[in-house]
Amino acid sequence: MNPTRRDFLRGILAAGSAPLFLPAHIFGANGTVSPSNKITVGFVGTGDHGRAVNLASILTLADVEVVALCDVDRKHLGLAAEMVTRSGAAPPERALYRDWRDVIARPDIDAVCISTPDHWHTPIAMAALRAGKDVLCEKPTVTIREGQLLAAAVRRYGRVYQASTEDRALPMYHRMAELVRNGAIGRLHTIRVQLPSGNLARRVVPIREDPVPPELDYDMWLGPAPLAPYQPERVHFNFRWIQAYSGGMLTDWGCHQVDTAQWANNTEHTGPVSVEGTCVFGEGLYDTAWDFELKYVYRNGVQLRIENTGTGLRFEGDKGWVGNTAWRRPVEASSPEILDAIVPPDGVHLYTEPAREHRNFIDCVRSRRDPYFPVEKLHRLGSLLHCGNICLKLGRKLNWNPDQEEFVGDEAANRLRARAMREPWHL
Amino acid sequence: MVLAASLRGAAPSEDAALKVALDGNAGTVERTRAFADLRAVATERLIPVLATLLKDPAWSFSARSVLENIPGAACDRALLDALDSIGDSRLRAGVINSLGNRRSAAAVPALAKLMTSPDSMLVDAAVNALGNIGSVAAASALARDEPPPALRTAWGDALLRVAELLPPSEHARSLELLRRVATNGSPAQVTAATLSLARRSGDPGAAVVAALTSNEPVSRMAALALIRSGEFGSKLTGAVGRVFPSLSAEAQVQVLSVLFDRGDRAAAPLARGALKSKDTAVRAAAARLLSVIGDPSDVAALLPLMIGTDEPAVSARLALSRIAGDEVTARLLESFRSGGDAREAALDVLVSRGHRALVPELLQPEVYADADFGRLAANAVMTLGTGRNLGAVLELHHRLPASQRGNLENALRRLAVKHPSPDEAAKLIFDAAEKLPVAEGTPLFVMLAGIGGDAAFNSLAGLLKSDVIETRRVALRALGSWRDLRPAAKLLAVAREDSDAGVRALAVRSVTTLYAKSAAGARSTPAPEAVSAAITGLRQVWSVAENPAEKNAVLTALRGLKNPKAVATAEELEKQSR
Repeated sequence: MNPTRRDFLRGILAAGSAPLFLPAHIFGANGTVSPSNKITVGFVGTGDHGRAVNLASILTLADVEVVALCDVDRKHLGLAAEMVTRSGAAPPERALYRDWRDVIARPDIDAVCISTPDHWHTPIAMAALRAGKDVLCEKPTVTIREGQLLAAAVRRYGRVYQASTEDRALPMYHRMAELVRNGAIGRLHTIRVQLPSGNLARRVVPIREDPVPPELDYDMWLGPAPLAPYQPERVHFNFRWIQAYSGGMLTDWGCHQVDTAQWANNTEHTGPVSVEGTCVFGEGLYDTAWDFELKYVYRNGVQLRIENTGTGLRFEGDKGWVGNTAWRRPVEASSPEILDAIVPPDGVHLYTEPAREHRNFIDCVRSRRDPYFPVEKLHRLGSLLHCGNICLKLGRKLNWNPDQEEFVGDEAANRLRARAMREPWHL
Repeated sequence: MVLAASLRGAAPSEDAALKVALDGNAGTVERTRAFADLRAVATERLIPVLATLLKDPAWSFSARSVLENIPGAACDRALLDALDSIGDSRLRAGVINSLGNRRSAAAVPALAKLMTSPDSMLVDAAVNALGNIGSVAAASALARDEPPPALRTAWGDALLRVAELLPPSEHARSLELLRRVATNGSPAQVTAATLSLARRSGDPGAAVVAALTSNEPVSRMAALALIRSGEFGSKLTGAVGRVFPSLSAEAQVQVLSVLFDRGDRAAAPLARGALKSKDTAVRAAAARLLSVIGDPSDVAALLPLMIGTDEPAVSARLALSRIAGDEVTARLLESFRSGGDAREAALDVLVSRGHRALVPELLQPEVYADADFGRLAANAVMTLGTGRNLGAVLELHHRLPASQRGNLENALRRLAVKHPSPDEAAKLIFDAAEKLPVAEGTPLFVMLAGIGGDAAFNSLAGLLKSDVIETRRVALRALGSWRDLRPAAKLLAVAREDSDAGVRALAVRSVTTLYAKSAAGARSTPAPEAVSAAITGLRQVWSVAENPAEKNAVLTALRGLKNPKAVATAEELEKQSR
């Protein structure tokens, strides 16, 4: 696959496009092991979320050393390098890369943090696992098949894999899930999930072709996705509104509230048995579902209803309800008794880590425990959400066999469980 | 564009999608989307036309992505024909990937030949495809030709996958492949192969023990992954327990941690032994493990550990809060009652266990003599108490010296909300407040605003008629923090009519705050009706405001509404005042 070497960094320095305060001798360091007892982490994807959430958080952990940064966009890379330098923890082995394969190839790296657009998550994570790295990777996958292969690879290589979301660390979601799992609302019958409208700005962006900016390796940005003309509205944060790179708002935000739904319903290792719904797909460049309503039914009879009317979450049982009105809002309930219910010693105590996903991941790299959002749960969550998108795309009700992980009697739907990758990329 | 868009959101039709896909006048993205639609519905009849596109660098991928999904040998043949006829390495690699994704048995001979190609991109694709196909023939091809060193990671990975995919009748061949990886692979592959070999061995315990005791990080990682997986249940746990004492502290912590994930009760003896370790991390991990597998017999060992803030103490408290049984509760109550250092820790655990029967003991005045412990006790009352405890907590509040009451006020607020009848709760609180000197009762009066309801409102409104200035002031403070505009008219009346200038000023401040809050709400953009009501109300406040400070407060409140009408009103009023 013809790895491209790190002349990119020299490009940055020569162009003077990013103020880097790194001594020249540190670049290209390879094959050495961190002399400290720190976990060494390489960052792949240093865009907004990669920097503001993942890098910023990892840099606060005293037992971690950031030794590599990688991005296809020189501007992002420069900003990330500045952050590391400013953190005051500039490690001697740090280096900058454009091609993630160079990061994966470094034997001195214990773990990688992947914050790329969705269509790159699984290929990079799989390669990292093969190279013996533990993986902290943004959600979601792009297909059901990706989740299956990823879960198998984690199991095969015995690695630690954390899907990077904070929800299981947030007290309101943990509390809701524990209340439901411990019967505080009686028998759960309905879960209502609100997700934001697909394409937050609800913009119709015409497709056009603009010159690729010099700081961006656009072919590498596209990677396994189909060739498409460059325009700034296609790349970086906007990828999530385009089917070629993402499942839209359903998978982007669905990985938050719907994960809590799966958690509370104790269906993290399985999935629904049917899905039906309607939607309006976006026009122009942003072609994922904008307005959608989905109804899933689980084998235990619970209904999961998803609509894009906000960011709230509500669990309804035969003795009351619990939920919140918007993202990260406090828990509310139909009665104070439910809200203040105490989980007894022999009740269901769900795994959380108030110090969030990054701390949890690093602790698990050391202890070899499973993190709070391991790959199998990510895969089942992803399957549920991808089933929803396939249902919307085909415009019909689908029956899903969560044991066999296949649609019942629907060849077209089954074909959409996977998608080919643009050559030469493969999983 | 229109046609492609119409296909989305409904089951796409093969003919319609094909028409757009092949339309040279259509846009690139539109055609790409039509090919994407075809992935779901294309049939064998499209194979010839799609196969012709495989050589076209612009459309090869789109055509291939459809072909990859069409079942049947004809499609395999088309892809294999293309493999022979395409010159471009990258496009050939794509075709190889598709053959691999289809798990095409017919492709194995061609892929085997490519293993010795000088083109590393093709070798990489062929190796990966053979790994996906996972047949005996694929295994033979992979085992026969080792690729160049740069591709050994891909090769080892393919061998590992083939070993998983081979049928049970090929067990010996699988083992052979795994042994090959275990001896020649990268460290990650050695871990994977070791793991897989252990999974397949008749006695995984022996393999795990060997791996753990070898002090080889690579082997240890495999062993830990296997223990964590829980695939072999208690048998494996027993084997691990026998070698556990000889492991390093780091390895012991890891073993205890992965056993925690599994929650296997057979690990209890191991955890109990580890609880006596000199290493704090080991003791902490052991206590944590007992939180999921311990039983009441562990309490004696955990109680002395629970005091303090270090890691073992935190883990011991976790364990004590999770081990079920009345006898556990009884031992914790003993610790709580015995006082000393254990009292705080025992209280913390009893609260975690939801031991509501503790509340009466926490309602004794002497508990609050120590301010720090009093705070913990009040928090415990807040968590464990119910609405029915409200009267008793108010009584305690009354009996405590004023300096010790503060801790209880959060608990009172919460218990009032938990009370089944807001009016009854309000009455209890109002009566209690009235028994105290006005200054000391103020927090309780203010609490009434949080409860809401008729009883609370009427009680506070009644205080506005008091002859005592301080009483009227307290009522104003409470009504100023009311949740909606209900008290506004009363506050305005006080602002106009009260005989005391200080009371009038406080009424102006209170009602100004009330209106400002009402239109701020929880949303960033308040409802238009709320803004209108606030503007009207603040105009009324302006009319009774007596001094520049009060008028400025009204103007600030109007501007704070962040609404053009409100801002215009503020400007208008400001002009008038000049």
